[in-house]
Formats: sequence, C-alpha cells, structure tokens
Amino acid sequence: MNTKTTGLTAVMVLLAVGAFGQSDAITRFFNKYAADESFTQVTVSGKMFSLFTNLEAETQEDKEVLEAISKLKGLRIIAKDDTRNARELYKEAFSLIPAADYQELMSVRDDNKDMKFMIRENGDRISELLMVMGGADEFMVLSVFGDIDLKQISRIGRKMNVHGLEKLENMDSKQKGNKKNPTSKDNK
Amino acid sequence: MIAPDRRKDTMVHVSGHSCPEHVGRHLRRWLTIALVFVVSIASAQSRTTQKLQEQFKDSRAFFFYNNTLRMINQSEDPEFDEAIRDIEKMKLLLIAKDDGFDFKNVVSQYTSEDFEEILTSRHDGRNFDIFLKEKNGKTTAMLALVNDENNLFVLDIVGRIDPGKMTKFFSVMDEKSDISNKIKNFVTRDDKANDRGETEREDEKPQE
Repeated sequence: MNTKTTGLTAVMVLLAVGAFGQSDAITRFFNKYAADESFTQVTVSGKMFSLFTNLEAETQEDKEVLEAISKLKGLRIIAKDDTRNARELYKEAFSLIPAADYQELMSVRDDNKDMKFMIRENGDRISELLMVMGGADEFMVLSVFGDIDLKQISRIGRKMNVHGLEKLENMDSKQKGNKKNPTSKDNK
Repeated sequence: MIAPDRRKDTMVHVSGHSCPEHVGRHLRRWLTIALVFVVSIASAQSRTTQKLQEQFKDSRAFFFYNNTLRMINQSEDPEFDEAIRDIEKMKLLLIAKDDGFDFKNVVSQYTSEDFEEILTSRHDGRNFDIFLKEKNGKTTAMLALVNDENNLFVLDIVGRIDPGKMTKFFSVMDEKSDISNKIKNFVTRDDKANDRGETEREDEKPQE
C-alpha cells in the first residue's frame, strides 16, 4: 500500500462513526447513488467512534476532541470529484433536504465553492450537522450525527482532514456556545 | 537422574512402538489435549478467511504472530509495540479475483460470523471496509477488506489494534516491512507479465 493509500486508510479509520438506519436527507442521496462507482462514499458507525473513548489524550484539546468524538453516533460522506455536474448535484441535494427539519447555520463561498452548514436539533441538543459543498467540478455532502458539540466539530475536522469543517471556526464563539446548549431560541 | 526404564518408555513412545499401558493412556490424554488446543487455535481465525484461502489456492498469504510483528519493528518504536500489544495473530491474504467473484457474499459470510461492519468506504473503485467482533464488550477480532476490480486484500486479526495507534501500525507495516513491497508488487503487477507466467509467486509461509 502506498503512502497515499495508507493516509486515506488512516483518515477513514479516524473518521469512525455509525450511520446505519439513518432516515435523513443524506440517506436518500446515498440510496440514489449507492451503485454509482464514481461517487466516493464513507460510512462510519457509532461502534467505531466508541473505540476512541478509552484513548489517552496528551493535551487538554485532545481530551476535549476525544470526548466530542465519543458522543458521535455516525458519519456519512458522499462526494464526487472531477465532475461536470457538481452544480446540479448541489442543487439536487438541497431539493432532497427537508427544509423544515434543518436550519441553516452558516454559508461560505470560497474559491468558487459554495458551502452550507445546517443543523438538526433534538430538544436542546444538536443531533445532526449537515455540510453540503458544491464547486465547479466537485461536490460533497457530509452528515455527522449524535450529540454534537459545535465547539469541537471544527477541531475534529482539522484533526481528521475533513475539509470544510474548519470553516466552522469562523463562527463566533457565542454562536457556537448557543448552538451547543441553546437556552434561548434566538438562533432559530 | 532419569531411571533407565522410564527413559526407555519415552523412547518407545517417540519411535512409535508399543509402550506400557499407563504411559499410553497418558500420552493419548496429552495428545487429545494437544489436538483440542491446536483445533481451538486454528478455529480462532475466521472461517471465511480460511475458506477464501482454500478457494483461491494461488492467493498469497502471510501469517504474523505477535512476536513476528515485533520483529518488523526494527527501530523498536514503542508506539508500534503498543499498537500490536493485543494482536494475537494476523493473517493477510492477497487474492487475485476470478470472474465470478461475489464480494457481497464474502461480506455476508463474515457478518454471519458475528463480524460487525464499523466502517465502509468506496473511493476510486476501491472498497475499504473494517469489521469488528466483540465478546462481552471486548474486541476479540478485527477485519479489514480492501476490494477493487481485480484484487481482494483480507487482513484478519485475532485480537485488536489499539485504535489510537492504527496510523502508526499501518505506517510501520507500510514503510518497514518487506510485506508492503510484496503487496505493492501484487497490486501493480503487469498483467501482461502475469499472462506470460512471469509474475512472482510466493508460497504461503508463516512469517514467524
């Protein structure tokens, strides 16, 4: 296995989460394109995340990241590179997302790429973070679900090389804090 | 000092000739225990992996035991030692698939052995899946499958790799082991050379 493969393997291993039986937007998208070999797909189960719960953290930041990872129940990614219909896929993804269930958290336009971050809440907790990215020739939908701490998600993304999630760092800390444990409905 | 008659008894057993009845009973008991032990060790590896190896006789197989893995770690990296601490043994199969190969059926056989899929992925036509087997909440086996159009890699581990040390484990296996070269050769082998029968064949041999 070459270094690239090993790197990819390591990233995939670290991405650990479980997404089976998920009935949301990304599942519809997954189901539609499951047989299409041109799409990159990653599904990680909660069991895999749970493997990280007993790891020893060297720093306080690592400790917080591991704690956040241990609360995740699943992760799914579907992506396509070097495609001419990235914009169409981007639009299609939104047509499949039930608008009533998600609220937009942040939009980013960066290097001709559009990114939208959306969340779904369960009571006062964030139960899913959805990132949809569409560029001139690339497309990605990422769904993280479980008990989500937005303060840590960008760090997790950075440590796991999940491009796009680092954009969450641009949110101000007050907003992130409110989303982690929203006591008011101002942000909705 | 061993009494001459006992020494004789032992020698009689070793040479396979008749022996006193009580010695025979002891030996049969020990043989039975040994056989049970060997069978239990053998059955610890996945049945599906064994079947694959039997089905694809030309597959390349590598066995590692914990001490063999430690030998790979020539730089005595403590992190690698930590990563393999709970690996009892590991089998790597490199299979050149035939036309009728049914990967989904292979996955289904593994799941019927109580392997639980914890990560699945597909990228550039290559599937990478990780499975886990647990008993009483403890990981007893791990399995990684890498499947593409032509090849199937099976990494069947009795025991577990420390998840926090996986990166180190794969990097040492990749950089410092002769196995990685064999894998690379296997993956990048020239099909034409293969057709001409020039591809190097590696007999299965334990890497102990």
